[in-house]
Amino acid sequence: MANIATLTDGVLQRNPAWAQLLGLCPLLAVSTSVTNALGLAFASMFVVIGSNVSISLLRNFIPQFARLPCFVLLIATFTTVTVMFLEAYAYDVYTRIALFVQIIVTNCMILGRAEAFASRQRVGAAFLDALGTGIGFAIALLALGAIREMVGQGTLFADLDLLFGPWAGSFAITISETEPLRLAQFAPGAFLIAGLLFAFVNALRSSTSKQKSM
Amino acid sequence: MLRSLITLACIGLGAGSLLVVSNELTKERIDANRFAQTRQLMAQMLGEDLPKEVDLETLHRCQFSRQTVQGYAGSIDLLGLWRVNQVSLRVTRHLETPGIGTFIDHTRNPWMPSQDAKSQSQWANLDTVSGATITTNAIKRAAQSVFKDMSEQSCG
Repeated sequence: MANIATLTDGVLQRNPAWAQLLGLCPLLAVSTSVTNALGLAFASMFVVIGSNVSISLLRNFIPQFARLPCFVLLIATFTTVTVMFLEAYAYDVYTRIALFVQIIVTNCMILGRAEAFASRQRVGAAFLDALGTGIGFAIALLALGAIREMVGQGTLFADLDLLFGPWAGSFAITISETEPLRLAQFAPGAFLIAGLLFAFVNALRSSTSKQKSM
Repeated sequence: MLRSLITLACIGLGAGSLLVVSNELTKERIDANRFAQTRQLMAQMLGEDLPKEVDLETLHRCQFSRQTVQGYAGSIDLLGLWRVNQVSLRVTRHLETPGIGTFIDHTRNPWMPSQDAKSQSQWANLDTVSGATITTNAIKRAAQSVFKDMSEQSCG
C-alpha cells in the first residue's frame, strides 16, 4: 500500500506544478497546444524515470561530496538521449519544443526528486515516485495545453499526427470558427490561465481536506 | 579517495557509452530529417518544387549557399538563396534566446522573409534589432559570406 501512496503522492499531494510550483518555465512556455504539451510530458517523464532509477541504483556508490555533479550528469545524459530520439522520430514536434526539452536538465522538479527521494530509496519506490511525478507534471501540462489551445487557437488535439503518425490526424477538433483570443497563446495568457487553474485545484484540495477532517 | 574517483570515472564512462549508443541509433534518421527539411526550405525559397532527383550539389554551388555563423547562444545554420546579386536567407538551426533572438526564425516571426532579396550593401547596412546585436551581426556576417561564396563560383 505504501507503494501506491508513493505513486499518488507524486500526482496529487506533491504535484510538481500546482503543489510545488516547480518546472514552471517549460510548463508555461510549451503548453500552447495539446501536441506540444504531450511531447514535453513524454520527454520529462522519460528523463525523471531514467534519472530516478539510475540514481537509486547507484545511491550506495555515489560519493557524498560529489553527489550533485553526478545527479546532473545522469539527468543531462537522459535529456540528451531524449533529444536525439525526439529529433529522429518526431522531428516537427522537436523543432517546436527543442529548446525546452534541452533545458529539462535544469528542471528543478527532476533534481529535486533525485536529491530528496531517489538517492535514499530503493529502486522500486524511486521508480514509482518518478512515475507519479511524471504523471502529475503531464496532467498539469495537458490541462494547460488543452485550455490554451481551445481559447487561443479555437482547436483541440490539432497536429497530433506529428507525434503519433498519420492516423492521429483525425483527432483534431475545431471548437470555434470565430477569431480566437490570441492572448492565451502568449506568455501573459499562460500566467493568467496557469494561475487560475492552480487556484482552482488548490481550492478543490483544501475543501476536500476540510471535509475529511470534519 | 581512490574509490570515489574510480566510481566517478565509471559513472562518467557509463553515461558516455549511453550517449554513443543512442547517437548511433538515431544518427541516420536525424540526418534524413534535416535533409528533408533543407529540401523543403529550398523549394519554398525558390517558389517551385524541386525536381525529385535534383542534384543538390549543383543547386548548392550555383543558387544556394549554406552558412554557419556564431550567434549569441551557439551556432546558427543558414541557407542562403542567391538571385541576380540579391540574397535571401533562412535559418535552419539556431539556439538563440526565445523572445529575444528568435526573431530570425521564419517559422515564428516574419522578420527574415521581410529581408528577402536584398543586395550586398543593403545587407551590410541592415538595422540592428535592439536587444539582439550579436544575433543581428551574425546574420549580417552570414549574408556577406553568401555573396563571397557566390562571387567565387562560376556558374554558366
